[in-house]
Amino acid sequence: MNSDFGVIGNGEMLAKVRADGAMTEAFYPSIGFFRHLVQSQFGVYQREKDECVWFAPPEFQTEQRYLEDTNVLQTSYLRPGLRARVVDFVHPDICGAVRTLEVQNTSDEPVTLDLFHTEASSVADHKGEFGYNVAYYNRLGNHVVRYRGHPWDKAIEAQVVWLISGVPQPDTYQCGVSYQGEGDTIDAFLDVRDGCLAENRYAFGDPTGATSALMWRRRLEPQQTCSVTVLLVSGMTLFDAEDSLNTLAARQPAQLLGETVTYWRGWLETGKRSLPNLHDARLEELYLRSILLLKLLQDRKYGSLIAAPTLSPDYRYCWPRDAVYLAWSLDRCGYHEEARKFYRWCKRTQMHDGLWYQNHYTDGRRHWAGIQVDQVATINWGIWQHFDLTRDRSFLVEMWPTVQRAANYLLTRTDPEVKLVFSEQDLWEETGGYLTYTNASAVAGLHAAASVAREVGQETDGARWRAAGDALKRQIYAKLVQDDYFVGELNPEQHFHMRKDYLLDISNLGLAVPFRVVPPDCPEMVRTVQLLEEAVDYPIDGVGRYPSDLFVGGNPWSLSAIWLGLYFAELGQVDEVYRHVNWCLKHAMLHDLIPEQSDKHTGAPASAAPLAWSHAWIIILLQELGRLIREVPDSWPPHPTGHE
Amino acid sequence: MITLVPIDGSQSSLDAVKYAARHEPQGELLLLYVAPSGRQGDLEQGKFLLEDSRRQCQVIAQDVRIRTRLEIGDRRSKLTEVSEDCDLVVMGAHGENGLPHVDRVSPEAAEITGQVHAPVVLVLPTGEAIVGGVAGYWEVHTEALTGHAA
Repeated sequence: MNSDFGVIGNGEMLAKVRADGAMTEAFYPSIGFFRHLVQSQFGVYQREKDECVWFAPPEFQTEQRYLEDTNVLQTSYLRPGLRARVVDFVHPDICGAVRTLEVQNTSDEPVTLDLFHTEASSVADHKGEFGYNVAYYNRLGNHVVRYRGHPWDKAIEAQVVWLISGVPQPDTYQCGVSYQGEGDTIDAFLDVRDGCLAENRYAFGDPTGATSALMWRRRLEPQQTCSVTVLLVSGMTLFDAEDSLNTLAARQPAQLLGETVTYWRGWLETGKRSLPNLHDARLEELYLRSILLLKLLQDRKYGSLIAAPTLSPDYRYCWPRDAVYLAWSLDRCGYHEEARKFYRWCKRTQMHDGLWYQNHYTDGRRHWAGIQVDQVATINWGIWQHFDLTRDRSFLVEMWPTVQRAANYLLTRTDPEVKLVFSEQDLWEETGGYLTYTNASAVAGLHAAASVAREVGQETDGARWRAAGDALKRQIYAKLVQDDYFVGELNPEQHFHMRKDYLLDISNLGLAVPFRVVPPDCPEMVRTVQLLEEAVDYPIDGVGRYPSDLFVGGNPWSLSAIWLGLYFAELGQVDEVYRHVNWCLKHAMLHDLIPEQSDKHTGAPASAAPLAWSHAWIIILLQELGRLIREVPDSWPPHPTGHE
Repeated sequence: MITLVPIDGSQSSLDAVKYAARHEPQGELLLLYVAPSGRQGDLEQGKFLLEDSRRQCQVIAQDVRIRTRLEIGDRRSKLTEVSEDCDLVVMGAHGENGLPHVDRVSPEAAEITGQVHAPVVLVLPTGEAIVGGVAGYWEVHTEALTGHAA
């Protein structure tokens, strides 16, 4: 089940804030690992009513939005007598999440409020099998220290540490054992209920963890407002964390907010220049939100880009294929430095034989070891796209060894008898074979390598790769067209792991977009698309990957709709482009975050969300839509299609 | 008597496995993992979690009969489907997501309880277990778990 949420971060820390304002996940020191925070929430105890409530529904009407052109979230709350808002952001330079709660007494009577912040952490993804989860209150610094301790080694100098600090200094605090119902070490979430905290200084929980609370006592006259800020600061050591906390605490929260807003608005200026005129505010918001999201999903130290900030399914890794499309999208929006940084990560992580594995941790270590040949090809293709946009020849020179190894690897994967590239896994990671998408990418990857070779004066290699790409292209026409359409694999009706057949697959479109191996209007491709559209009829419309798909029960995918939209953009069919864009928008989550799939019955988001490459592709699709509107002004607004 | 225990790798589902092994050792435990897709990584994770859970059960109750089952697809649908042949479902009250310190039972767990074809025991982080009854009504099932590390 996916709840609505927003994402904040700075490329080193990433956190998710639910639509009700609860922060539920925070990752550090990379945007994927580790998850430390389970739950961070504000609440209020009102003395006059002897009532304790969380800032969340049903006690409050809640609304969340991003501050315009930023990755700063604001969650607003309203109930009779009280108005409040929480502003959440991660400072661009310092690894600290800043959470400011502002409360206004909207009643006609003075009120006495105990505002509190509670948190539960699982430092370093602690699962209770090893070591304790510790919370202690540092009275000297007036902050809570969170770390993963150990029964015989309580040293905290050399491990990830979180500090939770209140501005202004809180009036009282509690460190408790999770779910403990009474006593000095009572769970902080339970201790807040009477507005009086036990002020226990040290607690460890095994296996359920520890919790902490900070509380401020305030009396508000009618219409008076007050605010408190919580700094959730992390560091690789206690001293790192203390340095960061001192830096943050030396500035007023308003200054930190101002710096963060200024940073994001400044950063987005480049992207705004690439924004096409779409004559539709919501499409333009989707475009800009997608750019802002992609930035959050890039590791600022290493340059890698993760597939999605999700634990279930676990997509906190860099899949080179997905990441190339993210980099291409960023490149097309003018963010060449971000793209370059990713390709340098590719250079660093390539194996000696030219391969990249299935996916990697953000620092480059390999994770899953599957072999997907299309990823190798796609990186070469992406490197050429970067050059095509920047004309930076020094970049090609820098990347030449990478391109060379990748292209030669592709040659080794071409079966001498079949004359097609074989891959152990397809792009869906489900089955192997002589796959259409893989071969399409291989043609593009070899041609891209040949173009790079020409630019860097390596004509001999270039000629070899060009010829190999041309030969592969001929084989695609000769062997992968069956019954007048492009099938997904050489022997599409053999027994496959996980699918009934490999006749139709949305990835067959890769031949036309983005790899341009065949023209979009060639009869075989037209027929392929026609059959794809007829193949599955979902109650909520949309486009799936292939008819026998089992992934989370088999649903329409945003990516499929976007790819089909791109195909129709190539043909200049604005109505069809708009139909697919609109479907994505209709099934997007709060803040226009796009899930991987939408439940075929209910339309609810399913699987990972937000999915990075869906956002990357929607940027490209919207650029194409903008191009079409510009070229054929009469095509806009689109005619009703009857589908939406 | 077949007791179904769905597993998802969360602390909450691990608690449910331990609870089931402790309280239902006379029947058969059916450990279920629903992989979202047939990708190698998802299947490997499922196999690992099932094997790990089987060992946890055997440490607690050596003679308990255990079966494992790996399915692919939508977790809720598969769970409902498999529960048709079971007498009891024991599951964690929270998954990886949610607010375990505020919500007694996660919305997803509550929803599943209403869908499956067998009585459901939800294991809370405290080790207590509650039984799903009429919508919104829960009663304490048994005593708290003792000795987390058993």
